[in-house]
Amino acid sequence: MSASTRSKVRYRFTFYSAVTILLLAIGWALDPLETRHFFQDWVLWHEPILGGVICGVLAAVLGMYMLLNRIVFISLAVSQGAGLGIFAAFFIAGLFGASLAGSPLALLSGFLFASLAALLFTSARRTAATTDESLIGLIYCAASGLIVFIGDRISEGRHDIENLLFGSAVAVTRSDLILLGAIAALAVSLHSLFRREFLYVSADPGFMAIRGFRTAFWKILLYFTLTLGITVSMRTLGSLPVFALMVVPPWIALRNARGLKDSFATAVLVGAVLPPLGYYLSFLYSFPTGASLIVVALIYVLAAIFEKKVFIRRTGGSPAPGPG
Amino acid sequence: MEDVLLTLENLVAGYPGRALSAPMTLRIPERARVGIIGANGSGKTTFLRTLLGLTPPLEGSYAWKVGTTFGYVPQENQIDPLFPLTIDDLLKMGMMGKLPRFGSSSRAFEEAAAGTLSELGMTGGRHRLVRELSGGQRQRALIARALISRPKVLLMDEPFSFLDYVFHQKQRELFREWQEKAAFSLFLVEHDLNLVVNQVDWIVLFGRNKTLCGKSTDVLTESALSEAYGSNVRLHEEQGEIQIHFL
Repeated sequence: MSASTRSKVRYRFTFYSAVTILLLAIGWALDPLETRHFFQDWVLWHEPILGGVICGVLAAVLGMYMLLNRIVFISLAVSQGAGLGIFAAFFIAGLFGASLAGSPLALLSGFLFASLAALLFTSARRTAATTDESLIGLIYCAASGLIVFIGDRISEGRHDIENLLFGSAVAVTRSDLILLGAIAALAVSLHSLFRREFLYVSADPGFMAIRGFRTAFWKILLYFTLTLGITVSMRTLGSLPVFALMVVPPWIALRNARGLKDSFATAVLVGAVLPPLGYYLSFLYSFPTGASLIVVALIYVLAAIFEKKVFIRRTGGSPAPGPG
Repeated sequence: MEDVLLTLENLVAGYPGRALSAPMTLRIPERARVGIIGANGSGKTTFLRTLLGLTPPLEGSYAWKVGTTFGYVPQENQIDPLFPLTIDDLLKMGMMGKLPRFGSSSRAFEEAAAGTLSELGMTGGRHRLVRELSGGQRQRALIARALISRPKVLLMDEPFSFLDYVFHQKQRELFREWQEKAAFSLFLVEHDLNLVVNQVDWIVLFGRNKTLCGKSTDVLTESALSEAYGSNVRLHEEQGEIQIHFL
């Protein structure tokens, strides 16, 4: 990392840490008693919060590719595909009179269907004469319709399905955390090892094909990590908070940061602080956790707009085009 | 006698249902400088993309000499400005496969990057964002990306649109120098005929109804150019260089 990149990362770390401390201070000023309880009850909260941080980091890294490839809504289509897989697993189990409660099969089926949705998108993207948005819309539409269709015939396991689809952010167990950590480690390792392949194939696939790289392979591997990350994070936090974590931190990074390393570091930093603050807000005022996370994300969007207007313009910032 | 670099066997370039060239058969030797010319929309870029394997040929075949490596400069920057790529990233893209898996750089890359940028007259500012460069600077950065790995064949699609005369002259000298040192070949698509005809020795001329290809002395005739462009063309020599005028 060059000296100038290091100093940019340091500056951004200071700025967003200051925003985080300010939010905690406001919370403490408004309700000191509950704030004290929040920190005293750390033992109860540490697993969900750690799970949230892992999801935030993972979603921020993967979300950067979504925004850079201008396919923001792919995560919704993929999570809907995962939902269809989970419904299909329960439906088939019901036909044979079996129960999937506590079984990993439903989640596996969700991952397979999510992969199918991503694969359908990548292959159709190369051949079909249509826009990415239309393809994503078609996949989302098909998966949503089939979920309602199949869901109508499922009588048992509703609670399990809801847990898998929308997560139970406050009830993350140690085994959930281990699974999430292992998958996040795999995805982040793949992204660290093959960062140049993923980035350069996304940026200029034609040039990379001429240089002898199998661009289709690298794109499929990239979508595989996206699918894996979305499926496992969705189970922890629910689909809407995961979508917010995949969009907001990369949006802030691509808007305000300069250069790839600075952008990824900014996205990861913001992605890591959003879930704990979401839990904090939820704890203080008994709001739903997912919705609280999104409200905190919106506060960071405002902070990023402020940062660009006040700090970056003055120091000659990057005229980045609006991401997404 | 030079080895054959590229063989075309009844090659037809185009898109399904729309042939953009007549069948072409040709053998181009190593160290050749090939100009690809023709009116707008006649199929020059598609032909280049076909030779690069990005668009499949409609008919016939082509074969490069085994072990040929390519550098490519596209007509315009293909990279979405949303990507916060620096000149350094572009150069790394050109050196992919020779960079360390861990770590951000290597001595070989640093030397190649400094050498290439200096040859192209680009000093300093390797960490500038590509989207913040002017048209000419961006074009130079794309040429640097194509050249950093020292390819055996450089294919350029209208690279001079944003470049000034001084850089163009410098680049001509640089390529001539490289051809003397190594088996370096150049394929150049250019709409400005006077820019291209004096620096190539082979021509592929995309006409309205036919495609001519061969040595430039054979292909560059007033009648062939007039037919290809649908306008009267006058050809004459001035200070040792061919000059083409549309009447």
